Amino acid sequence: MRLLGILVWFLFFISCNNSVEKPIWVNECSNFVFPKDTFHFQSNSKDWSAILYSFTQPVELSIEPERKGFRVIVDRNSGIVEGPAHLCLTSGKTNFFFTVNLLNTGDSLSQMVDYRSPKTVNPDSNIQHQSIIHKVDRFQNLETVIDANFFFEREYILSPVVKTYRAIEDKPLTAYYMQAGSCAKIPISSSFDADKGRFNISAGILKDKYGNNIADGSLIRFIYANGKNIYRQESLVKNGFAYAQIPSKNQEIYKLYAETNNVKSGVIELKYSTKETVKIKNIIEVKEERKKPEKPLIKTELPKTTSTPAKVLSKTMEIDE
Amino acid sequence: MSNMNRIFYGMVAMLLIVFAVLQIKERQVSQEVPIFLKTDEIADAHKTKIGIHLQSKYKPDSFQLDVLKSDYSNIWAHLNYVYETNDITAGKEYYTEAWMRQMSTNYDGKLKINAIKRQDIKHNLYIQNWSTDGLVCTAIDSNLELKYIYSDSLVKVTEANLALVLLFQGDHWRIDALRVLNESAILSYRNEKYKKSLFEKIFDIQ
Repeated sequence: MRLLGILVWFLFFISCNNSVEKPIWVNECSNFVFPKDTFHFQSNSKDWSAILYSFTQPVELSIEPERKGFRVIVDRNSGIVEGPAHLCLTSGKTNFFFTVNLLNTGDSLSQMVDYRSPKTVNPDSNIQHQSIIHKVDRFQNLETVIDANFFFEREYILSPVVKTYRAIEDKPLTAYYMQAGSCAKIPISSSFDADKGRFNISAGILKDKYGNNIADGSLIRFIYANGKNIYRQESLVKNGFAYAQIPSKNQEIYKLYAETNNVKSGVIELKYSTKETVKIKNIIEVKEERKKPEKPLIKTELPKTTSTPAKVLSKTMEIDE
Repeated sequence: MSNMNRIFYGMVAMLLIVFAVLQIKERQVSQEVPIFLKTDEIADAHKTKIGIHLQSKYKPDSFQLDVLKSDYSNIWAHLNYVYETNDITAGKEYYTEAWMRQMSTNYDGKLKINAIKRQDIKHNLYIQNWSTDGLVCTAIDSNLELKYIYSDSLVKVTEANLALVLLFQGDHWRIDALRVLNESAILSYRNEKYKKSLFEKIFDIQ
């Protein structure tokens, strides 16, 4: 019985002393280049597993046995968020921790990131553009841009020419758009088509204050009156022009102007003529622009207007000349 | 009606019911709830202190600041969760595409061992740049206090400084880039309570 008791105590003693010794980090260093470097450890124990806790996520590493211990390698070709990290070695239920500073190999190409805002610039309000610049490598590690600063901000005064630009030429995601502003003035002209007995009205070239054609689809209203009734036609702008057709009834004389938002054209008079196609009158507002019109003003193909309600707005109206 | 007939009709009825139940069960397609109906338990359970200091040329308004504060807390809830488990999908709503891509390169599934747990105690977020459209924010998280709880009962509190880029995408601020400027331990102690409970657990002491 005494012998059996001693044997039990002996077995208990052995089982209690079955602890794993902390492995010795042979090539201890402060920086670990991921995934190139290898940890070498000296240990008598076996069955190790390793996890490298970077600042953001844990990465499981591989163990390869060596003559007096084992080595821990990164068996993947990737990078990591650089900075302080912990290496956790586990044997059974015992964990050992080692601190290390992680670095990438240096071949992860860093690139400038230029955030522009706003993405769509309206020259009516402002052509100032904000640029926030920083630099990142392939694994989203921030790098310094100027001196020791990670961020850099500047503002540009943009060219007010309608166009899609790119902050960084080869990166479509950095694109921003200068859109056309609202119409600055409305030059209008008219001609009489004797065959069809109607006036052809043309408004254009419609430009913003920087000389850009205003956006296609902008609404232009043509208001005209014959002394008794006032009528309205609406038309959409395409390539800087908007058109309207007004039937001539009983050789009536109309006075007409065009408007969009708060901008009005001058008033023109539409007179009946027996000639086949006669250009009656042009508004003088933008004479120089009419030297090289983008589209011929006479005998041009007229787009369909959105609506031609010819609705009577009021029975009498005085029209300013 | 004889007993045999009753049993027969009873069995047929039972078979029909079983068949109907099986058919209904089979037709139930598991549908993933849209993100706005999901409850983020990890983010909800997370608590930290965030102080925001404006150093940017353009300043966010109070509503934008509240959203940033809430989302920044949620980002850290998921960063800590990933740190512990390597479950990168749980917090995908708080990562940009580029951030998710870099995390995916080191993803082999969830960890089986949870050796270190991290908690963020306090943040001082100094906003460096704020875009005029409210979609980009760069910041320095200064004197950020982190608590690491190791499986061997060691508890370490560190102070860190981070530079980070946050982008507002899809109703959330998301982490896009990071740089740990430094991190140093300010407190380190053995959690004897934890050790005691572990000891009790191992030796099954009531």
